[in-house]
Amino acid sequence: MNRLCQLLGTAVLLLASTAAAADENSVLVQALQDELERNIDGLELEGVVEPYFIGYTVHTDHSITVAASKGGLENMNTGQTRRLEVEMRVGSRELDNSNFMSRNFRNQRTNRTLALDDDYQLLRKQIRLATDTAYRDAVEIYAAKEAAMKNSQQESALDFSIEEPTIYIDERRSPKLDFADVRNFARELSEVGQDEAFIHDSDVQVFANQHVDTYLNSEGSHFTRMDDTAYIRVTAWTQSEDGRYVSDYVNILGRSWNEIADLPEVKREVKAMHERLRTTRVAEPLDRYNGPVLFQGQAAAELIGQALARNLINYKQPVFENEAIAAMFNRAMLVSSLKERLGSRVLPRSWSVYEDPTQTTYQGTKLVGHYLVDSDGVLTRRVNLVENGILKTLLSDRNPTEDIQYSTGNNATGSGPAVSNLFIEANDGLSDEELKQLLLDIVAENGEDFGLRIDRVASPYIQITGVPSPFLGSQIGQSLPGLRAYKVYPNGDEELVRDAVVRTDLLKELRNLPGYSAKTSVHNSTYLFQGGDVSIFSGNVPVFVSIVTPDLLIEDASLSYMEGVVRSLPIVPHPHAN
Amino acid sequence: MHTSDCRWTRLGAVFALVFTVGAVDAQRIDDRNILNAMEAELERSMSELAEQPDPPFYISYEVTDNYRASVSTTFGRVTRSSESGGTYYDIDLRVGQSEMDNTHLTDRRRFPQVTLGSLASQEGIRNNFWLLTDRTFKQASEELVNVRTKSEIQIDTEGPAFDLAPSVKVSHSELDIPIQFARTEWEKRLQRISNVFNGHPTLLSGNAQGSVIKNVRFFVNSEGSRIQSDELTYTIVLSATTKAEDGSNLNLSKLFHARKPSGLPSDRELTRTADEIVTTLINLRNAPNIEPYTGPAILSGRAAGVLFHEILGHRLEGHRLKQTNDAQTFKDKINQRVLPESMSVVFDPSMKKFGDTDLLGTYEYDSEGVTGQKVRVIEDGILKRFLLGRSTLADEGFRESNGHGRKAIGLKSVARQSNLLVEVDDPYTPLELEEQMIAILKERNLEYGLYFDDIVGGFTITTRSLPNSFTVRPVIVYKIYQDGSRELVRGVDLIGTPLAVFDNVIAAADDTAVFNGQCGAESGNVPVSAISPSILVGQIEVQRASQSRAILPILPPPGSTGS
Repeated sequence: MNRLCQLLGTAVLLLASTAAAADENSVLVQALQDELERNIDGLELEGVVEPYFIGYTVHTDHSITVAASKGGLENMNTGQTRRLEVEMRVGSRELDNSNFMSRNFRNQRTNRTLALDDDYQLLRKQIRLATDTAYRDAVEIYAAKEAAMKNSQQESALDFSIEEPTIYIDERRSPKLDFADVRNFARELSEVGQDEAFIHDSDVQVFANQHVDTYLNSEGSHFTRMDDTAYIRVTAWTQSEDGRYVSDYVNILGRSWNEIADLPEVKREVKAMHERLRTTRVAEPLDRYNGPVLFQGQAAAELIGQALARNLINYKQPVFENEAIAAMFNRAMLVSSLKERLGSRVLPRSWSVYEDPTQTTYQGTKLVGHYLVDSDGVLTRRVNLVENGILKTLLSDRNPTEDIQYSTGNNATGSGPAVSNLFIEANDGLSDEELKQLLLDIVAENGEDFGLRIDRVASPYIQITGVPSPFLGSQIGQSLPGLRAYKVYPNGDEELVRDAVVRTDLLKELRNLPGYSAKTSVHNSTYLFQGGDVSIFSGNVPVFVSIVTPDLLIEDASLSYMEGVVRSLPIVPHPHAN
Repeated sequence: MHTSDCRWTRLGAVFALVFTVGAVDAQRIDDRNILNAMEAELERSMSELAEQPDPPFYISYEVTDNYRASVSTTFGRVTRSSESGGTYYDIDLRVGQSEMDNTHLTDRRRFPQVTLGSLASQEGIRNNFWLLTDRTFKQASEELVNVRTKSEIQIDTEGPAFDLAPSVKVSHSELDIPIQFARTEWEKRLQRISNVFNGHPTLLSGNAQGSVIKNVRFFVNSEGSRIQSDELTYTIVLSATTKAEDGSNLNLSKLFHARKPSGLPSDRELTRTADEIVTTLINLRNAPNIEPYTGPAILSGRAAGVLFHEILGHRLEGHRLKQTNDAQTFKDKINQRVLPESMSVVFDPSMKKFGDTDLLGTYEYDSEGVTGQKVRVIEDGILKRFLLGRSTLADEGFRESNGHGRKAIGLKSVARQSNLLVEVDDPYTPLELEEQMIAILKERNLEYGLYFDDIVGGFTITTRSLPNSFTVRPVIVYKIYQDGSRELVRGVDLIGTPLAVFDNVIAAADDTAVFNGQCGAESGNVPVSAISPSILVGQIEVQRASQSRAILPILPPPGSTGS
């Protein structure tokens, strides 16, 4: 019996007989299947380790990206591609070629462009060459890793978890996408506010991608997954009289272009953003503040996304080729600071936190983090991460650690485990009025003049052209620049302020929140979850994430403004100034 | 490569097929209004900044509206079909004086600073240049402080050269050239051509790619120049790869460029070229590697063109002669013999074609708004001139630009090459050239000489801190034996130092050929051409080329025996 049959048992029969037949991409699937069988069984060199696992993912994309400003396009890219990604594992689950960081900057993934047409013979030819390259890389990496491990210690966990084979065929089809419509949409949207002399610059970026993943592996898993994404992003900036930058953005995410392309509604949002800029620009600067801060709506969701979400990921410590490589990459390797606190309380006692990519909506709002099968072919499910404030598990892919031995099905994009639909539930939340009163009670208790409320913050993943990043010099999760902040006085009056940059260990503050709202809201954004050799060597893919959270009251936050990003006002007045 | 190095490779191609738009945005306002908006904002900036302690004495604004469409096919099937474009804003702003401005004695290396903007309204254009001017003026003011400080503590050996030589006002506009597009037809055409590569199991890739690139350029400066130009380039690339038994990766490609689709080869010619690529690759698989060698060699016109570009052209770029870290090979050789008396070298950006071949190094105005001029750098073997942008030299006769200040988007202009043309007074026939080489072989009792038939590109180093050498990468090389027989060989690079090669140029033939490509240096990639006859060099050196040792694919191709 060959290696494929040893691994797959009856699963392969099911795959060959039903899945391929049911799949619209049957020529592609058949070519993948035939090369998979031939390679898992035939790839061997004398005295060299053999493959024990091969996974093929074919990413088919038809996308458009458009940038526009002041009523015209400034940049545009459209294209149609089909890319094969080969995951090759040699050796055994106990020790394979994965999770190794070396100067060769290679990992267990190999990419190759495939023909767009379903030409069975050509596809097989291309798959064969990609697999051959992947195998050569894999045996070299394996040898180097094995040598490095003789002189180092590493976790005793398996290199690759054991999972049930999955067969899943996504029956959905991408809705029609007219690129001309997308271009016109961007152009028209960029006309909004173009006559406003106080706005120094404003940009529109729209993106729509029709994406299908077709996956097969040597364990018998096979899936096709429609994974369309789209976003509309509008940024704008100006400067206040003291030269400080004032910026804001609109960021609308969806699972298809048609879902988000409501021009009148988006225009309204952009106009509201411009209005925020107009008032924030002339508000007084906050500069320094120490005390309670109430995070509401988008600000609360970003706080959770930036400070908590990346700590809910199970990153496996890689094997490094040597100390120099370890020093080079350790900075880029994110390690969950909660990993050592599994079983301990990390959040308020009444909190439950769970990840659930199977959910499609929340209180009528579409969730962008929805998917049913992950990039490893593992079915998604609800994962209870925190119960009664106690951390129960972390999100993982098929790279097990001593604490977490199995995948939770959260390898959303193929770059490692990631949050997608994150829900925070609390059974003792306060009404909006009670929460504001609690803020003022803390202010009074501390003998301060005012408290602070923030309802919009910046995102480290949204760059605003022409403006230095407000996150400069800070680690993600350690700084949260407020875009819309208000002093809240004891009598309930509020005063808009600018330059409110929170610089506090927010994760630590989340453990002992004095209060949070009963009301929850959902916010969509993109995040990067970087960790492991795959994300670092193969490139990171932004993950669409929906976060459902209550408003959050932090008891003791420090705020200060980084002076290094101030630049003098333009010498020449705006061309429309007169 | 860094500032003074050059890497020259053939255009990484792709063919063309465009849509109904001729730019990134079909809603672009009228060309005249674009220039008017640029001019109005430029005048306002000059006027408003005039009260500053160090006001700008020169500003130029440039907008490049770029559009590109491409199709890639492999073994008869489409692998990629794409369309892209961008509108790029650029500025050159000088403070100080034209003899010593904010760019003085700097090596001008920097990362490209790309600013995108639209061209939908005059107000938008002015808004973009307003921000760009403010940012650049502040940066230039800081640079000028550094320049003045350096000038106090460093010896300036260059004398009264210009950092920005005066230039005359020019006005020029061109008609919009529509892109001729039929994407589906081109997909079919390229599929048919790359289908030629099917049926050859040893080929690992067999591609036919096509692209069209359109650049519409708008330029104004504070000297009153107004330029609008329109440039289209269609490209077809045929390429294939295989692997020899010894692990060597063997790649061959043929590129065709034209300003109009009608200038590209017919399907029949392309098919024949694809067949030739297959035959040559199969022969190369079985060809032996050769050992390092010194001796006589003939370089085909294309190979000689690249050689002249690398070892001569880059060393005649005027700005290098002001850089103290440059080897300045030819700085003091004006009016001295550097080539045989029968040979002259000309750079001529106004030359549009050579024979039937469109030249890539053609332009009417350079990146600094100066008319591209024909420059006879070597006359009858004697060095006479250098290539100059507006950063000129102190010596009399070299204080004006000759229209060779060039750059890629977002970078600073420096002197760069255009269309290089090697002229020979008394050429031999190729056969006579070969007979001369065989005579040398017999005289020196050498077993063989080399014939470099085709190359992929090359690079050179002109700094003092590294050996002043060049490398040319050949792909088709023959040994020529004393009896005139030929043997295809592989696995070598042509190397050397410039003066040693010039001293050994013996003769040239009458078989002039064109090499079109992209030259990369400190001001980015610019399109260039080199036109040269075959030349006989009395002594060249080759070294082993870098080579893969990876074994052949482990499994046989699908469908073959045993699969």
